[in-house]
Amino acid sequence: MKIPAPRGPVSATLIDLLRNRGGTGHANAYGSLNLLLDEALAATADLLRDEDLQLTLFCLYELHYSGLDGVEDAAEWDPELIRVRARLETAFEDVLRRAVPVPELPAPESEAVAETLFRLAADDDGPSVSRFVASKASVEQLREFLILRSVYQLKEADPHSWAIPRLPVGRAKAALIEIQADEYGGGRVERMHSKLFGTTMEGLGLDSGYGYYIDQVPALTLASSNAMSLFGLNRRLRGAIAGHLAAFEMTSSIPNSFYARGFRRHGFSDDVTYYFDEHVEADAVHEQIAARDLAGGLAEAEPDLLADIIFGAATVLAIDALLGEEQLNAWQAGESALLPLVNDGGPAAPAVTAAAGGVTS
Amino acid sequence: MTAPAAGPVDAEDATQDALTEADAEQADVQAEEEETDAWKTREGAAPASIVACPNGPLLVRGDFEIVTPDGVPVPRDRETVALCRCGGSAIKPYCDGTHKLMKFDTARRRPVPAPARKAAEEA
Ligand code: FES
Repeated sequence: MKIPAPRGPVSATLIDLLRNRGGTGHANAYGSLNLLLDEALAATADLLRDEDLQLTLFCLYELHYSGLDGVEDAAEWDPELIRVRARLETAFEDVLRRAVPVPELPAPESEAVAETLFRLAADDDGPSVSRFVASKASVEQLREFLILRSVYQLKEADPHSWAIPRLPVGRAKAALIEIQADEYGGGRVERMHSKLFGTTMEGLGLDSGYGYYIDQVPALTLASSNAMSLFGLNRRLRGAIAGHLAAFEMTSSIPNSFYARGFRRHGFSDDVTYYFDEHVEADAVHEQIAARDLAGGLAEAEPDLLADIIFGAATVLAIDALLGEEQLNAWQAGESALLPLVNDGGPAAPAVTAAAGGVTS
Repeated sequence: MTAPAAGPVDAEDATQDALTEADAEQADVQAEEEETDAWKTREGAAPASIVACPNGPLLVRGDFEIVTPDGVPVPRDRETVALCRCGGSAIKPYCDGTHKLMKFDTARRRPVPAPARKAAEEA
């Protein structure tokens, strides 16, 4: 994807470094990147909403996905960058572990795990973006909704695919493959979920290129994507990525029917709403497989992962609640939920915002 | 729904093996068709199996068809489907998650009204 505009000293230094890797003096650049990171980590009031640090982590993760325009592919395994990523990850995981409320652990048995996850998802009474979209959102707000979701949805399923080689041969792995195959269209490009999302974006006159709107996407949405990459790219967190996918699927079919309703309300065609219609049906299947066979099956195969499975699931709900609150607050105040653009295309205020009412403290 | 599989279905793969816990909730598809062994001739086709998901849909995998009473195939977009059994879905025969809102409870049995029970006992 295109290189995003920096949002503070750390992301500015990283982006500079990525552009000029191999150039003279880049050993110094690594040094200052680490120093700036120290300062930023010590100073941040709320890492989940820290524009500079979440963008930095997002860029570092992006090297493992489709890469950044003009940056050598080899940057992916630059030991210095891996070290920076690991330091950011430690801080990020720490915040999530402290902030995400986790229910009492069930027995490491499939049905008990499934029951706990279904209850967790059902008890979720976070602010409902889906109800707002269904009944109130303007076309402009629908566009914002798509732009925010595009960070993940245009690479839908990819972060969870990292888990495939990390799960033991057996029920959990079979379940993950079954779900992912469906996500990627079951062999038909035109049914790939990421592709369908692109069609929906285009239906509202948006650009469906991956990362096109990255400069307008606030830190919290990047954090939600970063959490998936954190869980997916670290083998030790394979329990968390399995739980994450399960909760994702379990909180999807009903909201997607609301989203479809919101788009139909404005007269958008079935082609535009197809992405949501498809998810109503697909995720009603996936949630059963993900709860019992993926999460439950993994808990039975590796009982030590149980706590992380539940943590991964709870993370989805916690971050979703924060995101929902942020979006609805903006929309209800008649404001945009996106970052404002400045003339050079970068975000207006590379500020570290510490919004009130966060879970982090 | 017709299933071109013949005879009881073996739970062959690990997914099914591990489901023994849910035995009471699990049903194997036994279906008859003239071409009893048709599925075997198809590359990679596994016989159909149904997982009765507690408080949720029937998850159907393997080789099967869903047809109307006239034999017309019901549009189907994926290999494994979830069939609604709570009655509340807006996309029947498929599940749309509404069972969760309905608090659909597969453990609850409706008590048989006394006259019906009496009639059954006397029969
Ligand atoms: S069983 Fe899921 S909607 Fe009826």
